[in-house]
Amino acid sequence: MNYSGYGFAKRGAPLQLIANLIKMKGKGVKIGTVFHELYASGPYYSSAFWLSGLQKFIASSIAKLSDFILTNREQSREWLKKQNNKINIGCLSVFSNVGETDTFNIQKEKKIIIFGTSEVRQRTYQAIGEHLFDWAQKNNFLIEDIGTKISNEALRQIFIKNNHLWKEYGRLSTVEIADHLQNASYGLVSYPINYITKSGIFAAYCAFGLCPVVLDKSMGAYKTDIFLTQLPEHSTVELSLSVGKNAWEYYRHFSISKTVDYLLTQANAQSKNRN
Amino acid sequence: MTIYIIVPAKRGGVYDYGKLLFETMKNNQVEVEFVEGFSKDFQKKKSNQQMLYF
Repeated sequence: MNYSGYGFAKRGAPLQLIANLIKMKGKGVKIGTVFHELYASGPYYSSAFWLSGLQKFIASSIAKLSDFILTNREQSREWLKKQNNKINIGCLSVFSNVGETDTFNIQKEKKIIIFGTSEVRQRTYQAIGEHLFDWAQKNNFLIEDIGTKISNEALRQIFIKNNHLWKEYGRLSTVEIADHLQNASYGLVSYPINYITKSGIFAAYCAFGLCPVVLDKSMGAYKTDIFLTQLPEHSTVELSLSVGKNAWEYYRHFSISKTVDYLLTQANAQSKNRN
Repeated sequence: MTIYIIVPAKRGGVYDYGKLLFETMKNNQVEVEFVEGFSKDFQKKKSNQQMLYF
């Protein structure tokens, strides 16, 4: 079961799910849970603040009912271990929802991709500001925007002003997105670095060997081999290729086939236990 | 052994993740079923089918 409280219930507290899982267990079904989320928190005027305790209870109950678990953050794994320390709890970053490539493309074009939901892309443009367009101009890059149209008026004015550097593609098919990602040098996303293993957009950039640029002001200076936290002052092909290659190799550890292998191994072990 | 991949009915990243797991397993000749929802609403609509599964 792929668990996300807000996927199963409007306020993120699907109590009914626990009852269903108990029934299933009663019939001898083994349960493997992929925890995409545990529980939410928020300011006192949000429902997440008031329901956080109930959400924790539900996540904890599901963990206790599970025969094996996979999650996507080490911190989540630690929390889940405290709920149920008798089972295997794996941790793999989420894989790309728009495909992946088995070979690293070294023929990169001078393109920056910004893709994802309009909310995430809007946040990304706001995080980097007009520096993005200055940088693209200086380094002779084209910015490709992929996803539902951004309607924010201030941003649209900036896009119009920079239309020689910026191209809007709207929503594309998975195959078309893959074509764009395959050839681009950089992929931008604004996302909390502590949660980056949950980001499908980041996974997609890694899967196609782009050099990911993760914008998170709260982290300050942050160094890693698999992504940058700002566009480099001087863009060199070597730098984007080197970080992109590292990101692509890193992705091999949690690709779709690796994730499926992990889940099937766990499921087969449970099946043997039952027999 | 039959594997049931259960996803929330709400479309989004988690749904897509589950769908890709399902498709990859199916391509690998694994006996696998895709189950959407599993919420109260889902039970109302598809209870017969679901109870047959479990």
